[in-house]
Amino acid sequence: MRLLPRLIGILVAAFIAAPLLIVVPMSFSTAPSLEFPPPGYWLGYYAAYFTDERWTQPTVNSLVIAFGTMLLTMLLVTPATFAVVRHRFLGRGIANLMLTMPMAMPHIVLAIGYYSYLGDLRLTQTHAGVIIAHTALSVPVAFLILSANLKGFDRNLERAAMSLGATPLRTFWHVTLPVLRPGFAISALFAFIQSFDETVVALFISGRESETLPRKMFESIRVQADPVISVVSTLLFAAVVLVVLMPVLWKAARKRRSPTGPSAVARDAAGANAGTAPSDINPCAPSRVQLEA
Amino acid sequence: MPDRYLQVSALTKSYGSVTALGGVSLDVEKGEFVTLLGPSGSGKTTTLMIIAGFETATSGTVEIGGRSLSNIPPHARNIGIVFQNYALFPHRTALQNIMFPLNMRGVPAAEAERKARAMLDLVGLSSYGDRWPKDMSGGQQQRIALARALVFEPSLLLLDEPLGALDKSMREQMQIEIKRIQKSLGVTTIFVTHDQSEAMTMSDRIAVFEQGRIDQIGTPQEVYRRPSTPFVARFIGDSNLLPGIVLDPEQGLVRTEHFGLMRLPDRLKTATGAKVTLMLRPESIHLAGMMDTRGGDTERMNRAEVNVHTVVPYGESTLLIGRSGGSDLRIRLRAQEADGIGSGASLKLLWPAAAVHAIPTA
Amino acid sequence: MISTTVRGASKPWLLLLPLVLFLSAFFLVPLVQVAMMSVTEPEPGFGNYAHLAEDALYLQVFLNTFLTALGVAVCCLLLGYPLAYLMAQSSPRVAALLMLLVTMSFWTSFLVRTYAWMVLLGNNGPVTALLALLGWDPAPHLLFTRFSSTLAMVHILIPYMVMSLYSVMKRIDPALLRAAESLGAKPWSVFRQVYLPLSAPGMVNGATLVFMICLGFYVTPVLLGSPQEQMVAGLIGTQIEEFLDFGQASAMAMVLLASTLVVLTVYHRRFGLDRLWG
Repeated sequence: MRLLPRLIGILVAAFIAAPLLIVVPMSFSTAPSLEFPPPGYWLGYYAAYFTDERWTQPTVNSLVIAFGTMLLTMLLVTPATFAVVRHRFLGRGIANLMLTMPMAMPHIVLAIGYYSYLGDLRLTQTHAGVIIAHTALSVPVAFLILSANLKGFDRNLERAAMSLGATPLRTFWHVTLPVLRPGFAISALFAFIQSFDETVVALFISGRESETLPRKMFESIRVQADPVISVVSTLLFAAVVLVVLMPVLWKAARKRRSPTGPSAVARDAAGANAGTAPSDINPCAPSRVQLEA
Repeated sequence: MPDRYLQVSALTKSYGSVTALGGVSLDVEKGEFVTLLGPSGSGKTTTLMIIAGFETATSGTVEIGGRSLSNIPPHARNIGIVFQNYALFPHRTALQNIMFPLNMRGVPAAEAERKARAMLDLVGLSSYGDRWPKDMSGGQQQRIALARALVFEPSLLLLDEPLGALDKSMREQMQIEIKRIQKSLGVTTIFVTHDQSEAMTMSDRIAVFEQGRIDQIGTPQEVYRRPSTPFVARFIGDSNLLPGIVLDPEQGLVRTEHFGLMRLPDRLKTATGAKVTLMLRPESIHLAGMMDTRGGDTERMNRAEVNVHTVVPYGESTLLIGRSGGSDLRIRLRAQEADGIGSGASLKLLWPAAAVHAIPTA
Repeated sequence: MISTTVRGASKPWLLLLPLVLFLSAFFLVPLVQVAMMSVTEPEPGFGNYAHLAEDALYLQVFLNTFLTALGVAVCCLLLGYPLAYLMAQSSPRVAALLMLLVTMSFWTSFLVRTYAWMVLLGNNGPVTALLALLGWDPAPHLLFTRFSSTLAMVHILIPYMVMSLYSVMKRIDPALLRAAESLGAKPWSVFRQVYLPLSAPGMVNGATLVFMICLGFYVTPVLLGSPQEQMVAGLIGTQIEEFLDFGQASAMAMVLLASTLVVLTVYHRRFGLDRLWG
């Protein structure tokens, strides 16, 4: 009775893991097309990825665009989040709805909109155009994470700071900001990844000049299964593994080094927006809800 | 006027149609320890927040040393506050927390550290300066919060239920500790709590809050022995409240429904026929056989007979609940006295007129 | 930003203004433009919508999309539930390990996961080889079929389901299960009568999410699916890329958008939207 559901659970876990792992050996394969198991191993396609401008340029474009999206998103979302979380005012519900709406839009719908609208503004095929579109798409995630953190923020800390003589500005700078720093960091990271992974809108609006990595990958997969894709996939997967494991490793290292440390603040604050999952692994994964794809 | 250091006058606060404060006035002397006592939602914390500047009163004023606080923002009020959850900054060590107000005032780093360390000594945590708040126990965090609120020599110290989160033994220890530190620094202190025993043990005076108003302000003895409303009598300590009608104000005689004629210690200021509530503390009732009445003042004694229906042993004392007519009477005896008294026993009781206090009923 | 509550509405709106302006200009206006195009291109009127309603092909695509989304949601639920249950019942260490796996999959780009399935299901891939080994030779063509795209979508979306389920399951008080058992329920009844109903919110959340994402899914169906059995998003893309038919594409986009909003509204009416984004 206990065994069967357990077994099914383990099989499902294997179903989730297998495809993730298969791209790794593929990236070292000598085969020019999809073939598994690989007939031989080499690093030729890694060399190809790092030297071929048709791959490095989209990678740089994606990094630049993701970074720009992150900055613009945080700049816009931070004051808005304080307004929505900290104040009760007429139209708050509408503001809330507006900030989360882009999340509920199928990306293909927005892709058409941006294709024609940014085209009118002569912003298609530019970095700025993609950054603008990606910022609109990143706002909900960044807002949700930041507002969850802000809601969990103890207002008494600010009251205490003020009673101790800190002006509102210094209170924000010396107390609110440092305590919320992990929340800001996670929020920004999500905005970055949201942009870095976004495919559909980029497919329609990023021209040759601002081609993003996902667009390049999509087209390579569609046209001919370029073996370099498995290299990019492996590198992207490795980056995910690194980011996901980082808090775990950090925690383990901290435990060994000393029993105290300011980073515990980070962990607690990150845990505040919890929702699901063992919070030390990935506190806010489900907020990455997007009808992208 | 040295007597009125902190002057709170006719504070009101309403949120829409809800009235949180309905005219609170309070004068506090310099160096005094005054407790705002009341159930949650009675307005004591709101009063505290208005004094601190985090809430604005709908009307009324707060003055310290004759200076109105109305237009002074919280950070310029020079008031130290200890919050219920301590509100220690998690990204600063204990010492850095204590230094914060000095940093904000531009005190040079070396002097700030010296002062902060002196405060650490005062609260008995000299070696804890480099600890992070999360690595300290509740009681230790409490002391750091207290040190932080005092290090800048505030003109007033506000304590918002600071002991609520501690366990019982720690709470008693901190009561003594806070009182010691407060006395040694002589800082004027307003303490908010809903715990009457805390209020009794720590305060110079207690202000009892009920539904946005202060029912009574007085020393712990005053509010305990001579509560001015039935609410105060019920809220502080255990009590029997017996409704009665004044029979003879000159003689101090009141007729009660279930316990007959009751003698009071003094003349009553009310007229014959006025309704009063008599308060009788359970511990001032004695067994008739046990009390020495040879003092001759039998005239000034009250008597009753009850049937015990509940016996609750508390260790050093025992609470008996007896019934007479249609009314319960709570009696608290020393444990040895109550030995052998079981449910169903019939008791002859006796209490001096001085134990009865009349509360005028509206 | 610090003061408690500001009575007037001016201050919060001032803080909101930059973002509201930005979203108006770069989110609402493009959306409105799509709506406009659907009734103005190539000529004013509701011709595009009429065309959608008349042409059996479009109806077929919408039906196909709807059924696929439904199927993917059901598969995710059936597969995700045992895994989430396993996580909720395991020791914290095992649960954390499994969550790590789910999280990694969740974070890995859709494209990477889609590509992985191309490798797995390809003609020279391990699945074909395995089938051949089992005697199914020549093995059926798996890639670029409805099967391959559905399978990949299930794999891609299952983390959403597992996370929705797990977040609800781990909040189920074990004392309730012990109470049920002490009251005479057999293990299956405990599950059926107590655990399953208590985990229902997670099932609804997960299924709604998966269904909604699947409705507008573009990448995986286009790359892995059969060109003859497109889904709505893919067809919209084709309309633009191949025929530059913005009017028809916009009309389909509006219908897709409307269907998504209907799902959201139904969910919101019954459960409240706040809970969906977890």
